[in-house]
Amino acid sequence: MTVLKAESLAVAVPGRRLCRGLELTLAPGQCWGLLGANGIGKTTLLHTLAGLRLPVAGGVSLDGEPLQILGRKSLARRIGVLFQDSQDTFPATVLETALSGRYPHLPLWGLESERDVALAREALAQVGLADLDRRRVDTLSGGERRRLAVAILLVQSPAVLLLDEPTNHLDLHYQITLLSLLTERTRRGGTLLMSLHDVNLVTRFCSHALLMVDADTLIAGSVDQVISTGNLKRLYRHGVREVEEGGRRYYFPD
Amino acid sequence: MTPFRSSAAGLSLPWLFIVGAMLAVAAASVLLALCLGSMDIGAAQVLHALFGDGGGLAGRVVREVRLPRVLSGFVVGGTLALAGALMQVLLRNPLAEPYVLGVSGGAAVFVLMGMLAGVAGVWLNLAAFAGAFASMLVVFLLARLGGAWDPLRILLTGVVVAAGWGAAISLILAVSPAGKLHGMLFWLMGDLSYAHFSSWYGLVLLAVLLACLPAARGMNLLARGELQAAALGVSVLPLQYFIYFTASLLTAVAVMQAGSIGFVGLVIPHTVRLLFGGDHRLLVPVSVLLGGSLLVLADGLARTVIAPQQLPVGVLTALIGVPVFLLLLQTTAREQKA
Repeated sequence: MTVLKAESLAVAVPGRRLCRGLELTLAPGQCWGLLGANGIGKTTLLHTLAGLRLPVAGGVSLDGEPLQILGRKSLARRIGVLFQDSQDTFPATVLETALSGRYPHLPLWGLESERDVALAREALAQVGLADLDRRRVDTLSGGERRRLAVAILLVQSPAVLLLDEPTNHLDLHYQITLLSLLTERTRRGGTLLMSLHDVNLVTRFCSHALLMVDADTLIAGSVDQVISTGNLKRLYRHGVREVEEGGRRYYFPD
Repeated sequence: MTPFRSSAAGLSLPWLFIVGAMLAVAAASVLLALCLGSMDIGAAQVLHALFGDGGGLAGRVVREVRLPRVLSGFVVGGTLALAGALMQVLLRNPLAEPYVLGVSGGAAVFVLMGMLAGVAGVWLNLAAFAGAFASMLVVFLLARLGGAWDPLRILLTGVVVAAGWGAAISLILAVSPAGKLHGMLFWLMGDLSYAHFSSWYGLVLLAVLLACLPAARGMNLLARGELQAAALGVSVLPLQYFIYFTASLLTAVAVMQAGSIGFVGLVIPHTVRLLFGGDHRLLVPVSVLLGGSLLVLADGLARTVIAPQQLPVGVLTALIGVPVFLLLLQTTAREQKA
């Protein structure tokens, strides 16, 4: 049971403060949606929560231990990050790339075993890439690369998942199946925070939401409390309508 | 289909097989190079001279004249190929090679000034090392002190410093007396006849190679970007420092032996990638073996093609390497389309 906790966290980029005084606890079983306008600092906050960036004040802890004192490898066994985009200057094959999720689990001299390969193949099958295992990464489409990135996370198998716009490039089918896969996995004891631009995916898959309105206004709480036309209008400075259908609330821009 | 394409992990046996095959290629190259020279010595005589005793004049020529030079060539070639592979992953740039950050330029300026001042012998090698080391520190400090330490910044800093050295080289050549120009140009093109073989160079290469192997899996991730590598558990900054300093050290050691021999450091790592995939656990050792083999063969030809005159070995590495590499590039491109 892993808890990721931010205490009076302040995040800044040169010349601009993105948030201050953030108190946030990602408890086991919770799925958080992170919403905010372009450039508000969702990615920077996500990287700070992942320990990839130092906060300017406050701190992030994992089960009570500050992230800074945890080694990179032990951190990677417990926190997984999905980035907005991936690079492949020297492309490897799909299977090799999926296997890189085993990095934090293997000793320095370790070669991947049959079991590691089996884990990678299983993850590739889960994201629908089983048949492409020998393909080079640079021959994949945008959506296939995204699914491969999710497969790496499944192989890495951390308790905490921090996902930066996981639905980018994904078609409708994979948006739903991959978010189902990741959130169901989380409900079994992990925790998850993902930035999204589709409010309706947040209401469908998340239990909680964090709205970054501006550096001083961060609204956190359960989806039922936090997601409302009023808050969304403030968040995006754009009119939003609410529609109910089959017992679920949907939000549409004006 | 290349038989060993994808180095999908778990296949430790094919890896061993590949390394074994490359060791055989290296041994064959060394043997062939030992046969080449003004004196006609066959392979059997070479083997007898190496592993038997005596062998008369031929034996002495093999052991005392050819062997040191061939070993120098192998070590220099392996060193350059390894430095190139390291620079490419550090800068995440397929065009990176050992000299891209100005290490060889610094060495060249120091050496040419030495030649101008009438210095010779081992002092020139030391001047080369000093220049390479100075250039490495300058680039490191400029790229590091400015704040962000990222590949693009290192690359731009290095390229600009290299351009500065290039101007200094032209200046020195312009003001040098004609009598010294020939030696200077040969040094600039890369030439093994300046090499004084010492087993220390071989030990440096072996030590760096062994140190790189446990870091190689981290390099695979670093090739996909710093953030991605860090998120998967790589300590990125220490790894980058390690790569920067070892690659620079290797380049300095290679340059002090043989000047700046082009091509090996750029193309050998790419050739290995095309043949066997990009896993650094295989790429690193195989690059060393292939780089050594290429330079040994090129030097053998450089000594004999228009004997008694010698060609700069840098010319030969490119003459052999360019068509081979282009052919490989064509066939793999066709394969991928198919």
